[in-house]
This record gives sequence, structure tokens and C-alpha cells, in this order.
Amino acid sequence: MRRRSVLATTDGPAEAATQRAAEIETFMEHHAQRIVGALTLITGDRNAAEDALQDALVKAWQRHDQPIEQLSAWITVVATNNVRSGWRRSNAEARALGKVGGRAAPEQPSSREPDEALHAALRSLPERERQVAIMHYVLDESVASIADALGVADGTVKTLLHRARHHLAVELRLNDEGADL
Amino acid sequence: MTLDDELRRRLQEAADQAGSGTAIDFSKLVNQTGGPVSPSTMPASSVSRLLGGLGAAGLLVGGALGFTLLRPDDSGGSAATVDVQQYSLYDCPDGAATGSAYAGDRVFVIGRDESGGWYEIRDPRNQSSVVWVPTGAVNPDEVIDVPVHECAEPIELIVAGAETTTTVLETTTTVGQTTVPGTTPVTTKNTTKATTPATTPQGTTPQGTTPATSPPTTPTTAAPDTTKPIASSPGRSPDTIYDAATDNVNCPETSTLTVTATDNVAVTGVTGTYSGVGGSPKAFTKGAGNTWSATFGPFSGLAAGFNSTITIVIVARDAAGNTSNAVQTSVTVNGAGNCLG
Repeated sequence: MRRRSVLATTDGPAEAATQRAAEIETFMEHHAQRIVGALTLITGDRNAAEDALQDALVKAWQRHDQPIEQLSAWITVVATNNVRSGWRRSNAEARALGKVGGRAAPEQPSSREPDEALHAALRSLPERERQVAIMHYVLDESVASIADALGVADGTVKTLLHRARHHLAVELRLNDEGADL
Repeated sequence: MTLDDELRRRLQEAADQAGSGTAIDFSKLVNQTGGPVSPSTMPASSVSRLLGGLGAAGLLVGGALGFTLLRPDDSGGSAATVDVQQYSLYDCPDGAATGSAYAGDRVFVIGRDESGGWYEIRDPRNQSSVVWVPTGAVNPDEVIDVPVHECAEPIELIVAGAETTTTVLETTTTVGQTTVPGTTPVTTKNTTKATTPATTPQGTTPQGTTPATSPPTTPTTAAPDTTKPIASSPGRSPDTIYDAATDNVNCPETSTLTVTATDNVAVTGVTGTYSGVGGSPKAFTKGAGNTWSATFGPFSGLAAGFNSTITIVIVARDAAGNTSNAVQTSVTVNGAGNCLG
């Protein structure tokens, strides 16, 4: 799932913009559902997740002249930070952006029952632990790429993952083999 | 099946459920804001037009709703939303109020003052000029890492022998050249007051010529800075780390230390030193506000099962060479054999 997006500095800005746009399109084509889901699990708000993701996509594209090592991790972090910092588009702005190309399709009802225990366990996690756990387990990001995207040391990510894993196991009453206690 | 496998399975299933029906279409997003049909196939010459289209659409929508979206050439700063009902715009931190803005206004942050208490923003009513606002008045879209700027305060310049005639000159000072790559430097006007010598008959010298050719005189010499910085609130996360040979995702090998450092002028550096496990001084990096941080580790060479506590002594300094009180914090370093994760 991890994607690399390293732009050659010798490319002109136009080529870089075109390449970045193509990468984002490809990324969205294959991973939109899961990344929106991941952001929803992190933020607890589907609309906020979609708004934040749209904003992150535009930012990723506007920065086409700057290399982004791990595009998916970068977009996830930027989108998550949008929500973490209290950012939220007003209803009016969201409607305006919807008119110019925002989300269009209504949410599809799922045939499966939501995993309420898991959602409750996630809500009990500190925000940073939840973010790191989702990036690792849902988006399959490595410790190194998460650390790079968050701008922290690998050890910090390992610590957060360790704590999140422990908390989730306790909340979900799972043993080391993943079976119910 | 392991615990990791089970968590991965359930979390991915929950994410796919939560994200089902997503219809964010990036190409549609840019197409309908004035761009070409497809970003991936558009001609190179269309890129700037597309960026302009996005910016223009943002300004258009923003104007109608009372805010301004990010401008395409402002990628180095951060957009922010006004968070209070009404706030004043100031010409400098703790300076004079020059106008007002209101809740919901969108502004663009391009710098901050040394204390971290003020943001330098583009004036929401006149984007070509800059103003200052208290940081508590706005809510940035993302964690801000903008450069420290000094306010271009008005300068009162007195020329020796001044008596009778006062001539007001206008000079320009360029500030903020390092703020945003690719952005036209912000220019502010400072009013410089100067006087012609009393021996010059009034009206015989063209206005402005005499002061313009006279070198300015610095009226005073600043007293030396003898105030020491203050370091406080050292912390670390995590408390316990493991030898580099541990190589286990559940056993961290580094710890991030943070400290708060302040000074009457400015803290220019923070250093942490420690003894024991092969230590040497390490420089801290400035973070938000007055926070400085550094990552210690990984350490190697500890025998399995061996435990060691290292104490890091932290000192801040300023440009005048004054050093702060020493504060310290400790981290436990365990050998690889202690990793049970």
C-alpha cells in the first residue's frame, strides 16, 4: 500500500505538478475508501475525514515542487492534523466546495454490523496512539515511514504503537494470540 | 494468528466499513475550479493556469462567505481561522491597533514573534500588507512552523543640530524575505523623521535632499545583556528505552527530551549533556513557543539484562553568552534482554 513519491529536482515545475496530480489520482483510485475509513476511525467523524482529506490532497498537489517521500503517510498526517488542530470547514464552505467538486455520492449502507467494541476501544485511546495505530495497522505504514511523516523518532512511534497495542488488547480482551480471553 | 494479525484484521475491516461509499474525485475537484480536463494529461502550460484557477476559485468563494482561502504562492505558511468574535489587528506585537477582523475570517500566517505570543499575518482586508495578532485569536489549520520575524517598528531618527525645520521622509524596509519560497517579499513603510540643521535657511534646500545625503546617527548604545535565560519543566518520553540491539517494535530505543527555555532577549541554544553510556553534548531543536527538544538514543553495547540510568543535564544560553540554571531529567536504558514486548 505504501507509495513513493520522489520527484526529480531536474524536472520543471510543470512536469512536477503533472506528476504529482497523477500520483494523487492513482493513490485515490486505489486507496480512497480505506484512507477515508482510516481518517474516520482516527477522528470519529466521516464528514470531517472527507473534508480534511480533500484539503490534504490540494495541499499535496500545491506542493508539487517539494518531494514527498511517502505520499499516503503524508496525506494521512496532514489530513489528521487538519482535524487535530480544530480545523473544520464551516457548513457553508463545505457546501460551496461540494458544488465545485467535493464528495458526491451518499454513504453506502454496510451489510455488516459495526464492530462497536473496536470503536469503543479506539475512542478510549489517546489521540496520538490512535493515529499511529491506524497508520500502522490499517494503512500498513512502517514505523520508519510513520516517524518520518510525523517528524518524530522511530522510538517514539514504537512507544506509541506499543501502548496502543496494549490498550486495545485490554479493551478488546484479547490475548497475545489474538483470541478472546 | 497473533494479536497484531487480529488487530490488523479488525481495524482494516472497520476502516473499509467506515470509508465505504467515498466519492472524493481529485480530478473533478480541480476540473471544476477552472482547471483542464485531467491533471494527469494536461499540457504543462496549463499547470499555472490550474493553480491560478484554484486560487481564484478560493478567493471567489471566500469572498462571498467572508474568508480567504490559501493563495497558491503562500505554500510556506499556514492558513488559519479567526477564533474569536472580533479581534484587533496591530502594527507590531503589543503595538497600536490598526483595524479589526471578525470570527470566521480566513487569514494567512507568515511569521511569529520571538515570544510565540503573536502571529504575523497578511492583513485580511489588504493582502499586500502585514499586521500582527495575538496567537490566541486565530486557529491555524495545521501545526505552524513559521519563521521568527521582528516587527518593522517606526524609527525616530534625530540628526545632530536639529532645531527649526522638520522634514518627513519615507523609506522602505523589506521584511520577511525568508518566509515563503517563491513569494514576493512583503514590504512595509517606515516613517523616518529627520530634521535639517538650523543653519540651513528654510525653503532654500529642496525638501528631502539634505537628510537623504546625511548619514543617520545612532542615538544610543544598548546596555549589555546580563540576564540569564531560564530553563524549566524538563520532560522525557518514554521514561524507559532499550539497547539498539533490541530491534523490537514494542521496545523503543530512543527518548525525546523536552524543556522550556525563556530569555529577556532570546534563547539561542539549548544543550543536553550526560555521563555514562558514551555520552556527548547534544543540541536541542526549537519547537513551538518556548519549547526545545532533542532525541537521545539509540544506545548500544549494553549487555542483555543490564539496566542503566542516564541523567541528562540541560542548559539554555542566549546570544550574549549568558547560560541558564541547569535542569536535569533521567532516562532508564535497558539491555535487549529486558525487552518483553
